[in-house]
Amino acid sequence: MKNKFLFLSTALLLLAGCASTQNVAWSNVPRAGSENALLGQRGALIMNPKASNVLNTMIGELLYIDSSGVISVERSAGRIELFSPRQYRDYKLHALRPEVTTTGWSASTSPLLFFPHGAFGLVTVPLSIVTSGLNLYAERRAYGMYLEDLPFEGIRAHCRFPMGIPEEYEPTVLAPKED
Amino acid sequence: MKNLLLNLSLILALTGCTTWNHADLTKKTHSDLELAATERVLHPKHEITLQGYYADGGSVIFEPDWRITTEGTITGNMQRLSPQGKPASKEFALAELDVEGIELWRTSRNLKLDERAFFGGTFLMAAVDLGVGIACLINPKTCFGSCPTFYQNESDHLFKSDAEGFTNAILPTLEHRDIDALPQIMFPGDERIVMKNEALETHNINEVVLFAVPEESGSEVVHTVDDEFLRVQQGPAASVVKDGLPLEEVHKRDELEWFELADEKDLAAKTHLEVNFEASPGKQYGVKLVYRQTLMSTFLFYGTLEHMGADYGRRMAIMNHSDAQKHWLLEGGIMQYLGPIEVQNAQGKLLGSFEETGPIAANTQVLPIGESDGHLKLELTQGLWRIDALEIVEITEKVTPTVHHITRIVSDQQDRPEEVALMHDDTRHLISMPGDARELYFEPLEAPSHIFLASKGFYLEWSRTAWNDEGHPRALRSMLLQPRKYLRDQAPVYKAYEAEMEAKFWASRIQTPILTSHEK
Repeated sequence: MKNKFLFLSTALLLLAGCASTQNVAWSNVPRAGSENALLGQRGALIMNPKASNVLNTMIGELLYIDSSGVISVERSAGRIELFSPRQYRDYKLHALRPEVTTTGWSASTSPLLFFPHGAFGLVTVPLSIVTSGLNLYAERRAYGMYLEDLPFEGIRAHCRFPMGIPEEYEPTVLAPKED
Repeated sequence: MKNLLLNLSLILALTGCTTWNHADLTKKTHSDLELAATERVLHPKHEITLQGYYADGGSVIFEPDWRITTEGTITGNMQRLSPQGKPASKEFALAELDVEGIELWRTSRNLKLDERAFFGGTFLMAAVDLGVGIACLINPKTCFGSCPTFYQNESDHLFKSDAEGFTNAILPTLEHRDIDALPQIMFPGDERIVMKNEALETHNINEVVLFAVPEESGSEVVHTVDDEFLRVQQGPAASVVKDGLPLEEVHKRDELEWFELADEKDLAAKTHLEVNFEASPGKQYGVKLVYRQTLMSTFLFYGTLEHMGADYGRRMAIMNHSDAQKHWLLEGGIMQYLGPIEVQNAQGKLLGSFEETGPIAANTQVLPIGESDGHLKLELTQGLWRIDALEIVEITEKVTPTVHHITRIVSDQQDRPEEVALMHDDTRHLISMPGDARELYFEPLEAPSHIFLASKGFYLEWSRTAWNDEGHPRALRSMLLQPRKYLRDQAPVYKAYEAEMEAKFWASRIQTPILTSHEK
């Protein structure tokens, strides 16, 4: 029983890792201090910290900002959406993410602590979940800057295409919604 | 259960301390290559890559070893990228690039290890101050501009104004006369100065006059730190040394200024310069300094106002009638630790000091030191001052200038005789609002003359909408009660601001007059 459960958990975790095929993902953001932070060409991620679903605050990848401040963002669904300054005033820009943390996997693997820790798992599992949760909270906020506080040129520097989106890259563009 | 709570508390505390926080733009776009190169000057210890974009979106990216050649090309390990950002080759290769056709530059800076972790409390303050910093970047005049600026020639570059009047007079009771040397000889028939209000301030100007002393070949007339006027001639060449290395930038007035970045841990940290020259016995010497402040004073001043928050008006009104508070503002508090540029002799005896405030116009002043053995030491706060020139002069005589009053004021292409009358009435003030510019004409000179502009008045800083909150009473209290600690606490915050500001300082080309509306 114990071995089967472990095998199943491990397999699911591996599959979950392999399933991150989204074009827009948190993993697109380069780690602070890494070579990718210097040479990477992906745009910064735009997050909505006030999103009702706290587990999914991502808006998408920043592609371009025009002279009037309208930003083009690639959503996780693979379409490009435009946001006016008024729409994105509460959004945050994340150009970097912290170094390796246990956030990504420790919360989900916390229940496994019951196996090595036995009855002590009653203490260590909740502790691990709390720690991971706080780490996750910290990681999702680290290096974040409110778009409203940034000059357009500062936002432009973090675009994937600071000179404009290449025509061949444009699948679908949704106009800014009315306020 | 008790252990569980204890462990939980410990983990919460540790997690709080290790929150990853950093609020700074690591990528920047630049319209020309020279501006991109300033990133390296500002961040000498960081790795910085450079990417140049062509009009079609294609680009070239250089690893951090790039350099600009004397021919204006760039050499370094580079890679070409398609408009979609796909590399044309797998590896970077050493190459030389002609920059023609590149329309936009982007620099990327990595974070050093010590930048990647911020204590949460520090970050909170840094974020607030950086927010103000970014607001300053968007509209530099709102932060840099202060007090009336005067232009001898046509110029719209704020940082090339020839004089700034009564910088410290931010309250009616602080009104005083401020004298600044103008850099160029004025000729008869050319007695004209342009006065502007380039900040969100109300200027109350009681008087503007010119002091003139006729030019004589082989000598110049200088203004001393004690508001006297001396005729001097060039003295022996001075060698200025810091930490054993000569400072070439201060040999002559050429707008090439020497300055240091502030200390990373303490804004009041001192730095020292050694001055040596061949002195002759019996001669009266003076130290002539062309200098101004960096943006540190601006940062601290606006930080004080921001800390006051919506209480700004009330506090300033109280300060206006409290000698103790005015003393704290100008000489006590953090000011006592920032201090002036002190000049000492070889034995460490204080000979005098330079203390003209303001980061906009350069001041030219002389400190008479009498006879000297040719060895001097300057003590100044690191990162607070810019020095364009330090020269030794020989004092020949004290002179009395002639006074030239305003005869005509022109604004919006119209004569303003009523404003001339105001400037001649010692009990009244000319009000100058943001965006105002006036041509001031003065009584005629008899000969080409050295000119000193004297302005008297005060100004009222406009409250910003960003200050319409409760402010930061704790920071204000720290500034009041623990100014030394405050200057240490503010060091990392200022360092983040300083990096942005220095780049903007050199890049600033202000073209449009400011509007009277509040910024965001």
